[in-house]
Amino acid sequence: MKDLTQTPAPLRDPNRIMRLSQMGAAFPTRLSFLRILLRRLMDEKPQLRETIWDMDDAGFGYGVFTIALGGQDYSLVAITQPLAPEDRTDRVIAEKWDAAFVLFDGIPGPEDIARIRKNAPLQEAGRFGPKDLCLSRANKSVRLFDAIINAQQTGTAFPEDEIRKVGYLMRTTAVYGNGKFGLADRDDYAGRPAMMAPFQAEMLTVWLIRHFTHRLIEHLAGAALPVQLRRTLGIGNSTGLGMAPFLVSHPLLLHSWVACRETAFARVLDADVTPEVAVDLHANASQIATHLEEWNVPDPKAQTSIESTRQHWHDVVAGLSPRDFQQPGTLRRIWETARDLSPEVEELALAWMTESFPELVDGLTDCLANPFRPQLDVTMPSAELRAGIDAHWPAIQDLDFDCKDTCAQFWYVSEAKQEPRLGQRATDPGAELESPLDVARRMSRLRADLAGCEDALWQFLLRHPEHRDAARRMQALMANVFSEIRDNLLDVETAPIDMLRFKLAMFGATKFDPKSSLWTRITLFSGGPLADEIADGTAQDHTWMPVF
Amino acid sequence: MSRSANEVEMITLKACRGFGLPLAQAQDVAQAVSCQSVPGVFGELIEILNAPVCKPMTVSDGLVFDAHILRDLPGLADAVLAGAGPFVLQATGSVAVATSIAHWAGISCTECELGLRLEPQVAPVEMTRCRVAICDAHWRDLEQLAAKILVPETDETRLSGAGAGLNDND
Repeated sequence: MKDLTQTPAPLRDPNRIMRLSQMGAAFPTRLSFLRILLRRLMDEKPQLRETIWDMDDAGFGYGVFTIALGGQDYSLVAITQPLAPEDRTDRVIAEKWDAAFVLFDGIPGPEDIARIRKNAPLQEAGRFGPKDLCLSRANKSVRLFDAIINAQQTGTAFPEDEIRKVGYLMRTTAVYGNGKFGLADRDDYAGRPAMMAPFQAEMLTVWLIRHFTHRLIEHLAGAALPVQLRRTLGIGNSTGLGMAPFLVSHPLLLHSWVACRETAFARVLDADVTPEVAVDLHANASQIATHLEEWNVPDPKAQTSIESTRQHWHDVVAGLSPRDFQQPGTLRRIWETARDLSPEVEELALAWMTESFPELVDGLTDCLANPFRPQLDVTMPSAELRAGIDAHWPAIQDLDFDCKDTCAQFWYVSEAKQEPRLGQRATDPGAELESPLDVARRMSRLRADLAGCEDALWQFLLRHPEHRDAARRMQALMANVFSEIRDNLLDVETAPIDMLRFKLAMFGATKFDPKSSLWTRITLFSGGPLADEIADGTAQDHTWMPVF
Repeated sequence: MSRSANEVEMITLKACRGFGLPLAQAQDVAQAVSCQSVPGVFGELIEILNAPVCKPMTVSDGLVFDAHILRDLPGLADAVLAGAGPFVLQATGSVAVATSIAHWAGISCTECELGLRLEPQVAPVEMTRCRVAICDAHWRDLEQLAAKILVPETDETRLSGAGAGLNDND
């Protein structure tokens, strides 16, 4: 279904909501990528088939699971291997993992399986082909894995607090796609109905890995886990800096994601609220409050923020009845109150309101993907481009890159497994090789050199070829107002965790558990439907603001 | 070996950045060679990336002197698209690379007596990303060039990476 609904109200100001402080407060919505996958699974009700299960008593071996989606078969090939405790690390620089996975396009034959079993455990050092769509690996949550097996085997109670706290049996530390290490290019399958929205192959991979982890622990425990426990157990993920540059290197895709979300929000703010929707809004507001109560993390700063959001959420919705939501203008007033309290509670309000209006939101799913790249209009007058900078990113005028704090940090790629890192310019080596995440600095330099220029852009760029990228990005921004993060990513205050949070919320992640300003753990599909529930049509999606 | 279009684009982008090309020009070259596999393009590209950078180009009566194919062709293509030109580059031995970049930019590039002639296209050339067969030797060369943008690790930077200090396994 293509989205044809008119947008009734202006969207939020991009110069406010594209700041990292706001992006770093994002929550998952109906447009999050795992929600899109689950809607399709629940709509099509495919049967997940376990075609191979060759696992020894210690849980080492391999399995193959096949599912048909959008008229196409996809298979997860899962391989497990022994791993010494000292080799178990979530860092990119790890070289061994408890489990490795490939999402195969179709049903793999014996030769495909042999090839994948040989290469998948090697991960980045392996070699993959055009039938391999995604590559992933995962490590066990050792304490939860063993505790659940022990409880199941001894008939004692499951460690509910620990299950709530951790939320998964295994956590992935990378899910590669789009041509990496020889995998299929996304262009090759992006036209398929089930793969049109962003990251659908990756989301399917993770949902199948979740099923595999349930199957593996039941194999080891020798009995089936309770359904409710399986629903609770999602898949963990450790995410570091590797995810951050994506938002900078895909400006038009970033625009599409945010434009869809903002369009949905604008539609909802002035929508008529029926009695049924009012009841739903009321119930979801309570669910959010419970979710916030259950969300606790070890990091003191993050925990303080969660506690503050709990209070703010109470301040926003306390005392409101379903009848109140039906009064015209109520949702807009609630948003304005939330906006004035904090970015977290404002983004929470967006996620809450949009959740109750599937007919206004879900059609935007078709607009999330964006295969285009910024193009230069070389006939634009240079003065128009400079005016565009001032109009669309006014903060550039105030940035002083001669100031030490303004460019205190630099992004680079380490020789060690090509791991992205953030360096301190004053102390760390490698600033001369920094990665091009200095968009604000390049915009600032472009603006300075455009001063007084009366040529067409092509003439300016012949004299200043170094500004070609900034000029192209700025033109893209003038037409796609959400395509740039409106912050200087070199600033002493920049925290990459905000970029990670935004992208992970777009994925549909919950239980953000920041471990530093550089990386976080999250959970995917916790509360999500199980494969047998999908197949028999009884599935319900409880991944949004899950409560247990 | 067969490489995905994305692999080819990324390794070329990094190799061009390692050479010192500005980001946009590196992107243009990378996208061009991943969209159209002109025979000989990777051998030529590696040769250019291993050669020293020439002095700034000059243009006189449509003749372009000291043009660097990777650095200057995107800008000259802009000029052609804006109605300036045609231009003739005094360049030899880089026909495959120049043709790829020109087609990606939407202009025509043909050999002529004085070098390479850049002018508007009569008909657009289809550019489709697809897997590319590239010999292992060329791939290794590109990897070496791409490695120039990697920062050697030190004990200190290793300990400051994301996830460092991790000792709990949940």
